[in-house]
Amino acid sequence: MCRLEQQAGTVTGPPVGEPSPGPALTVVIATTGGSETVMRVLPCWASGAPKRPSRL
Amino acid sequence: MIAAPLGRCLLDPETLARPRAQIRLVEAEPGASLARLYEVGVRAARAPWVALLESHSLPSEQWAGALLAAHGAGWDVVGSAMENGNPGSAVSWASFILMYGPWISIEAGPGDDLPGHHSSYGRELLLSHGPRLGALLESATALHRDLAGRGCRLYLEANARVAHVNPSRLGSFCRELFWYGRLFAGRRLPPAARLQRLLYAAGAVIVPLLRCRRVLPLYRQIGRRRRLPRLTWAALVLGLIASAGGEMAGYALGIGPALEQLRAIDERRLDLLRPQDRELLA
Repeated sequence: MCRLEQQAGTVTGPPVGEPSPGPALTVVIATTGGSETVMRVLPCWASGAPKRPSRL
Repeated sequence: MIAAPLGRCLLDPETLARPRAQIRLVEAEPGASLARLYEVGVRAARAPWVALLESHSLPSEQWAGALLAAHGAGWDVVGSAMENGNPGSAVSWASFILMYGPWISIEAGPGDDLPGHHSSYGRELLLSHGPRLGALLESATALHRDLAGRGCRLYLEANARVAHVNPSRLGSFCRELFWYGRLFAGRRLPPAARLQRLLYAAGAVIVPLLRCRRVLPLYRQIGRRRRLPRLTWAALVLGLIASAGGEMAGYALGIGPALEQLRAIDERRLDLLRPQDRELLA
């Protein structure tokens, strides 16, 4: 998600040196939790590099 | 932002503490449904735009920027252009066509509906639904119909691409469609409308045929642009029957344990995949 919020900030971001107004977009991922999927996917988001098929 | 039931998200503290991650974890009551979790996430969001996404959806690098650009152009609700994230099996393609086919990236532009859990909204617009928000988030179609009725403009953004990893095991595929069908039908009519519910339940027998009229052109359209496995049509037929079975049960008996079943399916999402597809989420 870091990449997404940084990317969102790029779109509406302030000039260099000025404080950031905060992210323009919040991404909400709902999960019932505890699953192997969550354990595998979320650290990828946290590193800013979610895996995706190469054709994307 | 990750929305999960209290104590159920096993994300380790080290991941949450990464300085560049900007990840927030918000928790709801134990046993919360996915719709309830999305509601909690939306209510806790701070940015003016809120995009919903699933843990098994893989966005392109341009995704967030493209959503914001479309909002900047005046669109109130912006949907992601969907791709099949695990296109190697007929079951996965059938699931994708039934759940997300209308929003495949080859068709972008204004529309009446957008992909559920893969669209972006103004935070204040969502919050304006008040206590109804949670119920509306159970059905993206109902939410989008409500928003369109209020004059909101919906748009499918071709550059906001998301690859959705679909069930690729036949039993899991049918089970998921059955419970979604039951949830949809169970919520569609009030419990007091017993006669109408019975009539709709009887009519669900012909729903697969009716849906074929919409699915078949979609299947052909996608088949011209993508290489579909040979048995995709057979999996589509089975999926339509499973979905209609769920609708029949929903009209006759109400939603029953649909929310719990769908939550259980989400909890064990890797079990829905063939072993070779699991690597996509590994």
